[in-house]
Amino acid sequence: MDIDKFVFSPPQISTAVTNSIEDARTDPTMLSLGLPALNEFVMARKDKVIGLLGDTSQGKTSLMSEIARNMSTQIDAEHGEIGIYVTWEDNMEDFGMGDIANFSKIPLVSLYNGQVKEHEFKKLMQAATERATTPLWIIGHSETSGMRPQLTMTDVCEAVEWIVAKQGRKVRFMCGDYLQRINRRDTNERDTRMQFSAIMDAWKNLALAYHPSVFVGSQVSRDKVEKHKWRQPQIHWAMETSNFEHTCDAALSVWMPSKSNDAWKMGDQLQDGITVTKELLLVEILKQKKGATQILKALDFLPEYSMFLPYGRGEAMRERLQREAVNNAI
Amino acid sequence: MRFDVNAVLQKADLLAYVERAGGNLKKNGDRYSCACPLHFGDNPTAFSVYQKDGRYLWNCFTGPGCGGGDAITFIQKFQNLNFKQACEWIMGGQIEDSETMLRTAQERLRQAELETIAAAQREDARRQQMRVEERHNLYHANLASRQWMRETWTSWGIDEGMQDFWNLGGCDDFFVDGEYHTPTLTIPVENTDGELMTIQHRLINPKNPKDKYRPDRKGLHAHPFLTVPRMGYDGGIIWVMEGAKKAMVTWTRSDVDWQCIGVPGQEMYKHLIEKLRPVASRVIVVPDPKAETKALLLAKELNCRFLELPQKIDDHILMTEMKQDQLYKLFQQSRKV
Repeated sequence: MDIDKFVFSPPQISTAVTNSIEDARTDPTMLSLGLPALNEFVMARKDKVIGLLGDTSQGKTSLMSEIARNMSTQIDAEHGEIGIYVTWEDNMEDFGMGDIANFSKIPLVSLYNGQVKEHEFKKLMQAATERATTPLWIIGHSETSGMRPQLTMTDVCEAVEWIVAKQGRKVRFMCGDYLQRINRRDTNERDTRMQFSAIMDAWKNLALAYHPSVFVGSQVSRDKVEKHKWRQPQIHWAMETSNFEHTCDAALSVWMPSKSNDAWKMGDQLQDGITVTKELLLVEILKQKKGATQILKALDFLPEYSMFLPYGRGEAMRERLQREAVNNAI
Repeated sequence: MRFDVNAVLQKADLLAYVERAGGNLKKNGDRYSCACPLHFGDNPTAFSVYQKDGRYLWNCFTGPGCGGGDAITFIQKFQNLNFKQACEWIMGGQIEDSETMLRTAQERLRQAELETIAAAQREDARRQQMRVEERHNLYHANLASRQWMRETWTSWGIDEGMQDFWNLGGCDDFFVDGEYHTPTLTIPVENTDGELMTIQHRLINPKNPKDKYRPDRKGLHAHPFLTVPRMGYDGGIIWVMEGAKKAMVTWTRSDVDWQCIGVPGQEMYKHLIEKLRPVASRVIVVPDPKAETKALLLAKELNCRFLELPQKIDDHILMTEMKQDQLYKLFQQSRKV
């Protein structure tokens, strides 16, 4: 065993720490999440895993894809840097449709139902070009393939290796959507919790091997959520499924109070002047190594455009986009 | 069985063999034509059967090494047989007269070589004649007096400056296959030495809407269109696509050191393999939507980039008002296959 790989002398420690601080000061490898409410609290760093907890249909996938789009604009595509979104949930077409809706501002439901109007076709094609030039690759499945490959983490590692070796790309960030859908048959564990632990370890290993920032989405159990009136997922709610808390270097959770309509009504006051609206999405920083935690931030989320805005601006933006659509049609 | 090549040819029925091979022969004057059944081409007039000295002969104008010949040659190619086996296939029995057989085969080989040389000379002569006549200059001169020609080129995304750069032109009345007349727009195609190789006529009112191009005269072979001929099969980025028009539109948004190659029909992709192999890392193949198969074979052979777009590249460039930096980003994000 190579002992000097894991024993460090005080001067080594001192030098390594100073170098690390120096790197962080001017670090081009840190990526901003691109969400104004969160940028000052959380940055995506290489080799680190950030967890994103949320109940079903609370905007987990949308937030992760928004973060992926935002980070894609910061990386050096000219020199082959890319981001990778690994999806077990949506197929590639459905995922890309969210991007196209975001770029074109044509409502997602219109795209999904093929109801794009003649005057919107140019916008659609411009959005298609924008998507085609966004350095965000997908590992997953296509609706045209007629089957879901149900990827294991071993498959994902092979795909990443292919992207790095054959395509000559450097992976700057990865998103995994989401933990509970990952095929566990390669984990060699019988116990479900141990299987998820192995999967989280695989994500961490990917981060260490290829040096991207990694985001992993995880669902929380509905039983847990519905026991509470305040349904912002907490990190220990993920404990039963894996070593999520221990593996993640940082963790966020998402919650849309308007969807908890058995507990909250529109117009209810939450805290710090935040009111329950149709668009409100709360993000909490649950864990962050060497950083602030238990910080709650409010955003507005327009699911139909796959769009995130500062709190309080959602409704006005929706009205503006609808007005523009009507004007363009005329 | 004694061997007599005339007896074999007399028994052979070339028209039936072609149809058996999948050729859907259509009579056109004193010739028959169809898509080539030997290389499974899709140009409906690329394969021709005609009579010479009372004997049926065939020729494929576009295929990779299909060539031409008589019924025996056709069976050789169709059934992948040697000369002796092809004669036996036609006669339905074994031929043991090996000496005559060998002599005949050698004689036919000599004749085929002579015919190849003669065909090349004829092609060269046709090109020479075309150069002398400077027909492409006449076609180009038409742009000055026919506003519709200029306007059509412009509406296709090629402005007046670029029309003059490529010496594009038009023809008021082009006679297609001796069947019907249509106006055309013309594209002169040069080789890497700047020599005129052919003139492509883009049919304005074709009988079949899928039927788009014809050469200026019969027998002129199809050649890839290079937007900057003297740059050769090279460039900072080398874009390969189907059709000269797409190559031209793409080049109007390109960097000056990029080359765009318009391939005249999918069959021609494979002829580019050796030319592009040394520069494969800079090559990107852009197929038409739903016509990817042969383009993909080229890209796989070169291990180069492959770009799928939701619509044809020229339509996409024009509709989205694409700029050079976006084209460059498309190159960057496309995958190697």
